Amino acid sequence: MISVADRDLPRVDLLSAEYEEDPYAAFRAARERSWIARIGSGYGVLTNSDARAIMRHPDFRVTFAYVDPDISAYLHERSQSGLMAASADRHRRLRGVAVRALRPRVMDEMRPQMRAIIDELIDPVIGRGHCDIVRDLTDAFPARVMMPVLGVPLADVPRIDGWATDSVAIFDVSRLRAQAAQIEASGRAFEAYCRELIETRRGDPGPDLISELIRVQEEGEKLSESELLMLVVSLIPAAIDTTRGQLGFTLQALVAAPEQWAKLVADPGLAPRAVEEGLRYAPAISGIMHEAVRDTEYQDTLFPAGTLVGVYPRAVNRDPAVFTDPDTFDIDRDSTAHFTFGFGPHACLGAQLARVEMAEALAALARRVESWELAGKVTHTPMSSNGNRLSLPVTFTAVGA
Amino acid sequence: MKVRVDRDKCRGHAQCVLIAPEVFDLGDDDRARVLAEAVPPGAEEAVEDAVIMCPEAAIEASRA
Repeated sequence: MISVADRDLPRVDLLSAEYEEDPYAAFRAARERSWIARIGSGYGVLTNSDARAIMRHPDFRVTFAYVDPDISAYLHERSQSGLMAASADRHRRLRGVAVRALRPRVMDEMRPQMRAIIDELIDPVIGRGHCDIVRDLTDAFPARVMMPVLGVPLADVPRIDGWATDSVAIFDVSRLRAQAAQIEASGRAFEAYCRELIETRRGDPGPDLISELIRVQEEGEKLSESELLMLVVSLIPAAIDTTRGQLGFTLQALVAAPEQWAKLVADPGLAPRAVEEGLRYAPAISGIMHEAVRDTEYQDTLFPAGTLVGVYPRAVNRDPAVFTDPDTFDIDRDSTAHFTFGFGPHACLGAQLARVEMAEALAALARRVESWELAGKVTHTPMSSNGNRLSLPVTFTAVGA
Repeated sequence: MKVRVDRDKCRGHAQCVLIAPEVFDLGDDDRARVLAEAVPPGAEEAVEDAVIMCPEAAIEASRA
């Protein structure tokens, strides 16, 4: 059996100028040669079917092993204590706690509030015909929706903002190495903030999710003090950073495809389709790493124990074996076979909530804006990280203008 | 309580199987199937959790 290290495989360099310019083209070129590519010190899956197989495989598991203690003992420790790294039983228990705390907040009851927030954000710019869609409109949206649900004061959002972005750097091998000291300092500051927040909510509980988690912790058994902190530290960035990044990428795709936006304007009820296609076409997440837990054979190849294999949504969501004409953004297609929310036991806890938030945002915008036109250069953080802090300057025509 | 899985929506994450193995299983097509449409007594809460946790919103449960 040939070892993966000895196979002739294409390489994708996430730090190259070509990748930064067009990650999809870089993955496409590699996929034309193989189902798997060398990426960094590990490998990346390029096809949809292999992504599914690896994420279901009992001998591959989600890992943060690359958050080496050499990089930062603190970040190493934190990555090992998180929900994604938890053993099966602990994972199931903690996930259950987090989900149960969300239960009373029926998503459908939140929809009118979501629409009202988009209207509040667009009102000040609607008359002037130009804006930065992401910075002026959508960036603030997920925090405005979710912080009250979690029990975080809205006044704290500006402070939390940078911490939330930094905390997602744990998924980003290259950024982690280059900026370890800054990411660690940010992580420590955020943790201190969360400790304080928990004590505030403990003294003044409300109908929010953090107060609910505190109640579960005080009942004992299901949730320890350190697990409570870990959940709060994980849930706040998950509620802010990922959704706003995805909304930005989806809007970028919609601005670039005016005929697709026109469909939404004609029927805002199509928003869930646009959300799903945005998740497929322009994922706001770079990759999720897995490691072989023992010497494992897959696809006639040996993966020695410890081999890192990433699933990169920007590769597997454009697999022509599953999606006809995969590089076309088309809200009428069946987009559901994407991996942007992950897959299997670790699939995104907030997937349904994120879908509802994004659909309400897109539908609300489609009721107000007839058409958009790009009015400057789109910029974003490096694609080797999630790339998800965007600037999207546009001119637009308001409905009825 | 009655439960059903929309097999067009299901992608086989199998979270429901982890949460309520007495109610859900993966079929030969790698999609979830319901073992007993009428939920056994004592499993209602686990089924409610599965409904919320399903990443594809593919499970429907109704109190009979």
